Parts: sequence; structure tokens; C-alpha cells
Amino acid sequence: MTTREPSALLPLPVAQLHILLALADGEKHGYAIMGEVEIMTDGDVTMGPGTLYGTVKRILDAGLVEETDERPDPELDDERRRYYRLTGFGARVLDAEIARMAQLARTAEAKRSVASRRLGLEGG
Amino acid sequence: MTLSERTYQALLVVYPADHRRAYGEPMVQLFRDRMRRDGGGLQSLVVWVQVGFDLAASAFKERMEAIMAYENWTSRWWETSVVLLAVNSVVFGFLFANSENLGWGIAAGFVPGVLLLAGLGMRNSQRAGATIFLIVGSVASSIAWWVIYTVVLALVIVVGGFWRGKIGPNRTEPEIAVP
Repeated sequence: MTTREPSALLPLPVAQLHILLALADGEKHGYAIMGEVEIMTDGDVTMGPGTLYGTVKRILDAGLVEETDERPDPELDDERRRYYRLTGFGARVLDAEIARMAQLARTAEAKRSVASRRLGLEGG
Repeated sequence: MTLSERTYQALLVVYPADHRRAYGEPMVQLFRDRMRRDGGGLQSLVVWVQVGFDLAASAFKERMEAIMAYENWTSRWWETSVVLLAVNSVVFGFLFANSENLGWGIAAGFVPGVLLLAGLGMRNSQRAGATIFLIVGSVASSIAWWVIYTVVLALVIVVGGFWRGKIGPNRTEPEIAVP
């Protein structure tokens, strides 16, 4: 059982965040993760095999995901494919990262408002 | 398996063996999936360029991680030492034999080099720093000092090797007793 605090792993590297988000709604294999990341980023990010499996290795080592033998539909799938899913600890880390980013976004928005007002005053 | 897939599979040799064994097969599978989806004609070239950059960058990262891993430095004492000594002697010794900064060269290179080669349980960052100093020391040495330096370094490797053999290459930090 992992006893570390999720905050110890924050902020997550972008590639790790993308993969955790891709796995948030269920287990997926490598190709499905790649496709999900493309959808999430409007096609801006296509993870190559090296980046994807290098990142998978790190989040496996960190206990954020685990390999699973379960198949969503064994009839339609190649059994050699490896599926990954979030662990409980991985879900908590993802929650913490999302909360951190939300806080950052609120701060950024506040700063942007202040900057706009200040620049507006200086410009006027 | 197509020629592209065979080529990609062959290129995986740039990754550390452990990584290749663990993830080589799914990486080829992912490459195959990608080619089936996006490949064909000139599009295959685009995929190859993207995959090529991905391969180079990720292999470099995996290699650096493997090099900096504690186990690789301590459990493979002799291989590491021989490589360090060879690099030190052949490349930097001959290329930079006329430098005037003898004292600094020896001090900067030798002391951290001893620590590095003795493998005194340093952290990765310290070990990386010692490696840089080791190289800098070699660069700054003159030919005469370089000879002395290299001989002493060789002795350190031999003595350090036997010493480490005595106490074991995979020491762990002693546990603190809880009363």
C-alpha cells in the first residue's frame, strides 16, 4: 500500500498528466491512450511510442497506474495488448493535480484582471 | 511484419536493454497501430520523422536515467572504472596535455574522482558533479601531471575495487534503531 502524500509528486510532468487523464474513465492500452490524448489536446499532442512507454514506466514505478489483465471486450481485442488503469493513489494524485491547476487558473485569472485594469489605466 | 516495423524494432537497440525487454513489444505494437492509421505514401514519412524525434529524445532520457541509477555505478564497479579511466586517459589526457593549470587540475579532478570511484554512497547529483570535476581535472592537467594523475587514478580503481569487494557493492544505509 502506498503511504506517500499525493502532493509529493506535484506538479506532474505534462506527459504523466495526459496519461492519467486518459485513464481517468477506465483502463486503456497504449494505442487507446495515444488516441485519447490526441482528442483531449485537439490533436496538438501525439505521443510517440518512446514517450508514451517511458512515461508509463515512470507512473508504474510511482504506483500511479497498474497493468491489468481485464479486457473490456476480449472478443474484439488482441490479447497481447497491455492494459493500464489508475490505482487509488493515482486517482488521488490526479485529483490533487487538478485542484492545483484550478487554483493556478484562478490566480492567473485574478492576475490577468489586475493587469488589464492597470494597463487600461496606464493606457488611458 | 512490414519493413517499417522491422526497422523500428531494430532501432530500439538505442534504448537500455532493460527498457527494451520490458516495453519493446508494446512500442512496436504502437508504432504498427500508428502506421496503420496515419501511414501510407508520403504520410509514412511524416510519421517516421515524428517517431524518429520521439525515439531519439526518449532513448536519450532512458539512457541518462540508466547511467545515473545508483545500481549501475556501484554493482558494475569494474566496468564503470575501466570506462572512466579510458575516457580520462585517452581523450582528455592527450587532447589537453599543455594546459598550465596543473594544481587546480589535480585538485579539481582527483579528489572528487577518488570519491566517485570509491562509490561512497553519494547521491546522484553529487556523483554527477564529481564526474564533471573528474573530467575538468583531466582537461586542466599537463602531460606530466596527467601521467601521475592517471597512474594514481588506476591505483584508486584497483584499491577501491578490492575495498568495495570486501564490504559489498550494494550496501544500504544502516537503519536507525528505535528504542
